[in-house]
Order: sequence, then structure tokens, then C-alpha cells
Amino acid sequence: MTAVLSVLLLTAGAFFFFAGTVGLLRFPDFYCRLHALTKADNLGMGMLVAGLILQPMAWATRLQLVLTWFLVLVAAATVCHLLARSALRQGLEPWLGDSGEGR
Amino acid sequence: MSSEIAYVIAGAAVFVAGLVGTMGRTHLFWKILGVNFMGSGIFLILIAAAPRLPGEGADPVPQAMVLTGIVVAAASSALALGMALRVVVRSGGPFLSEDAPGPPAERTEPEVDSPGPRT
Amino acid sequence: MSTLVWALDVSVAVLLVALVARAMLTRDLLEAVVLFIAVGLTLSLAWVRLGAPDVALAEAALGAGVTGALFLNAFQRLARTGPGASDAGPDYVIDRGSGSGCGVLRVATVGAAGVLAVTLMTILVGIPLRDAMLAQEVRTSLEQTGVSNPVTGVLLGFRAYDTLFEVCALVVAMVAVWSLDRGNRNFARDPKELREDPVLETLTRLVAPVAGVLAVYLVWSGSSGPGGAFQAAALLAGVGVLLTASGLMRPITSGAPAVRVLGTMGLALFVCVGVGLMPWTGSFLAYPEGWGYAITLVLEGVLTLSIAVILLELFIDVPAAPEVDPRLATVDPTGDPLGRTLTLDGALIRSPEEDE
Repeated sequence: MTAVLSVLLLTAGAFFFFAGTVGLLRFPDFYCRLHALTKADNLGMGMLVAGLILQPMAWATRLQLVLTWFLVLVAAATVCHLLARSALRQGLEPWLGDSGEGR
Repeated sequence: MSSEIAYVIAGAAVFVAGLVGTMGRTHLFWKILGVNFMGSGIFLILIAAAPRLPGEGADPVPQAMVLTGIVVAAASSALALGMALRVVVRSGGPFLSEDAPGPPAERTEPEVDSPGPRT
Repeated sequence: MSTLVWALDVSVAVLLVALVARAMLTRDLLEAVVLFIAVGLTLSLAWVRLGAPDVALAEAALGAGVTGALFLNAFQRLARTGPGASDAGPDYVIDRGSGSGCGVLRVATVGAAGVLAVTLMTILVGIPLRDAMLAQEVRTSLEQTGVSNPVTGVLLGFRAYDTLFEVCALVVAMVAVWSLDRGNRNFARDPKELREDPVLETLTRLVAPVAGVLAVYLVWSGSSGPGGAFQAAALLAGVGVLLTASGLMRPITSGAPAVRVLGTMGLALFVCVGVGLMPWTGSFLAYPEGWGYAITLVLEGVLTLSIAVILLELFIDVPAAPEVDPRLATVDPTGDPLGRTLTLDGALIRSPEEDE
């Protein structure tokens, strides 16, 4: 039972990373790509870690994995913020979609 | 054994790519990148081609050598990049003087056909 | 199942070659640097697959992290140096190439490279597999070093001499970077000004203590499992860069005596240990019976601090974006490989107009 759940979570995590990569290659704008990558980093990594935790392993290793996910989460969020802020300050205009109106 | 062969072949390919790039590219930063890639290729060959005891990981002696190599490559890259920036100040471009693009009036500007500008 | 694993290895190997080729062929320097970092991380995966976890840690921390960050740092200084893309002047971060390589020479180069690659691969794949003599010897003699991780045993026990010279190379690199363009250090920004980004500051406040504990753990567990001084030092250097960039710490430069002491302490201790043990054991860097573990641990701890400071200095105490003399825009730099166009104090000796 836990094995099935583990495989499901791992597959979901892999799917998120795949979606993030597709977003990196296909999205029209810097900010959209940044969003795709950070989403993949946070959520995909979380699902991978959740799936791995359900595998048979020592509790210390499980805690280490959760700590790793937490650190990646914090780092990815900060990097996303810094990149977006830096681009905005250099004048990169966000792509506003076909309507051309504001968000 | 077969999976190590893949890495040995990749290591040789990476080494040759780094070597050709170091010699062929004129921009100093690419030369430094090329030297780093040459090192990475050699590290791959060292560890992947080493015979290993059955059931254990890689041979520890090349591992130690590669560790040393990675650290020294980082430090020497730092120094090389600093010196490349000094070359920019002294001669106006990140090129060695024999590679420089020539007098400004005669410089042709070929199409930048790089795959997509960065946004 | 092993076919899948083999397919994974082949994919990683192919990915490596593709990334390196792309990085060397592109004309955009930022793309090349980012690909370099990607190569470092893929290489880290390859090390894991090859059963070398210590090297994987070092590659991720130093190869991809520190070296990649050094490249980005230098890229930023280079991009601020040249005139902007709006001028007609050169843009240093896109390599337009000399435009002159003739086609035959290029084809010949690629052909020669291909021949070299194929020859190398044939030779390497055809090497007869010997017995794992070195690994066997390390395994049998490992308890003499006092540690149970064979890589640490080799690094600080059997081949401590190499590690000594590695630290020596690091110290030399630090001093050399310090001496580059000494007058162009620009720490003008008040650290208090830098504390304008609460997100970065929060990250640093969260991560710094965790990283400190992690570094101690890495050094401690390096004697019995993957880990070691260099990986921990890279971690501490990264935290130091974060602290400086977020404004929580003043940039520590070569002027501070603490920096000079800490930076050279590792090398000094290594040499003292090596020489000081000679009356007991009769040769340089030979550890007495039973003392191996203690000496290794103390050496690794001090080395971690020392190398962390060295790596931090390679980031912080570097020249600011250099100013290129605007007169150089009209001068032909190919005139003289010895650089007759400028004297050492910057006076222009000869410019093309004088020749006419």
C-alpha cells in the first residue's frame, strides 16, 4: 500500500519536473518561465521527497530528506524573487497576453 | 562494466570538446571554460576506468586525486578570470593580442547566429 | 532492470557531451556559463552513478557551485566593463568571433578533433582490466590511518603530501587575486544600504546557522562516510557570500588581520604537523600509531575554516568592474603582441593616426 503511494508520489514529482522543463522551453516570457521553474522546484521536489520518505529507510534519513526539501524550498523561492526583481529593475516588461490589458 | 564504458567514452569526448574549444575560441573566458571541461573529462576517465573491487564503489585513490583536482581547478579558474579581466583593461578586449579582431575600421560584424538571444 | 539502469547511465553520458558541446559552440557567454553549471550538476549525478559520493559532493559544491559562481561574478564584471550595446563599441559578452577562420582550417580542426576522440576512446576502452591493486592496498592498510572512509584515508593519510600542496595552491591563488589591480577595490556601498531586501536577509538568517551545523557534520562524518573538509569549506564560503551580499556582514578583505591568519592557518598547521611529527616517526607527514584519527580530525577542522576563508576571498576581494581606457577603441590591439600601445602607467605611446 505504501509502496503504491510512494510510486504515485514519485511519478507526480517527476511529472512536475517534466512540466517545469516544458514550461522553461515553451513559455513566452521570462517571468512565466521563472514561475514554471520555481513551481517545479517547490512542488515537484516536495512530491519526490514525500514519495521517497515512504520507502523503507531509517528515520534519521527521512528527517534529512525533509530538511533537504525545506532548504531547496527556501532557496528556490528566494532565487525566484531575486531574479524577478532584478529583471523588473532592469526594465524587462512582463508579457501581458493577447489582450494587452493589465493583469 | 558496461555503464563505466559509457562514462569513459563521454569523458574522452568532453576532453576533446574542451581542447578544441580552448584552442579554437578566441574569447578568453571560453578558453578558461574549455580548460575546465578538459579537466572534467579527465576526471571522468580517471574514476570510470579505474578497476574496482567487486561490491565496492570506485577506487579511492583516483577519487582523492579528482577531489584535489576539482579544488585546484576552482582556485585557478578564479585567478584566470581575474587575469582575463586585466587583459580587457590593458588591451581593450578579452582577447590575446594575436587573436584580437583587428583595427576597428576593418572589423567585419558577422551575423550573430547564436540560437536565440537571451531575454 | 539492469537495462534501465544502463539506459540511465548512457543518457547521463550523452547529456554531458551534449551540454559541453553546446557550451563551447554558443556565442553567448551567459549561456555558456549557465551550461557550465549544468554540466557540473550532471557530472555530480555521474559521480553518484560511478560510486564516488565524496566526489559528487565536491563537484556539486565546488565544481558547479563555487566555480560557477566565480564565472558569474566575472561575467558580471565583464558585462559592466564594455560600452553598452547601444554604442557602436564592442560588447564583451557576445563573442562575434574574429570572422576570419577560413573554412578549410575549420574542417581540418573538426576532423583532427574527431580522429583524436576516436583514438582516445579506442585506447581507453581497450585497456586490459587489471586487478584493483590500489583499492586492495588501501583496503588492507586503511586502519593505519585511523579513519574508516577510504577516500579521507587516502586524502589525509596516504597522500597527505598532495593535499598539502593543494592547500598551498589555494593560498597562492588567494594572494594572487588579492594582488590583481589593487587600487580598484570598490566597497563603497555601505553594508547598511545592502540590507534592503528582506527576502534575501531572511533566507540568510535561516540558512546560515543550518549551514554551520551542516559544515561541522560534513567534517565529522567525513572520517566514516562521504564528506570531508573541502565540501564543508565550500558550504561555509557560500554562506559567507550570502552574508556579505545581503549586508549582514561587512565585506572582509585582505586588510583584516583575521583574514590573513585564517587563510594561511591551514597550510601552516599542515606543515607544522608534518615537520613536528618527524622526531617521532622519522618521516615527513607520517602519523604515529593510534594518533591518526585525532590528527586527521584536527587537520580537517582547521583546513575547513582556512579554505572557506580562501574561497570567500576569491569572491569578495576582487577588483570592481574595470574601466577600459576609451582611447583603446581607436587603437589596433594587434599591432604589437608585447603591447607597445600602452606604457605601464597608461600613457598612450602610439595610435594609428600618428603613423599617417
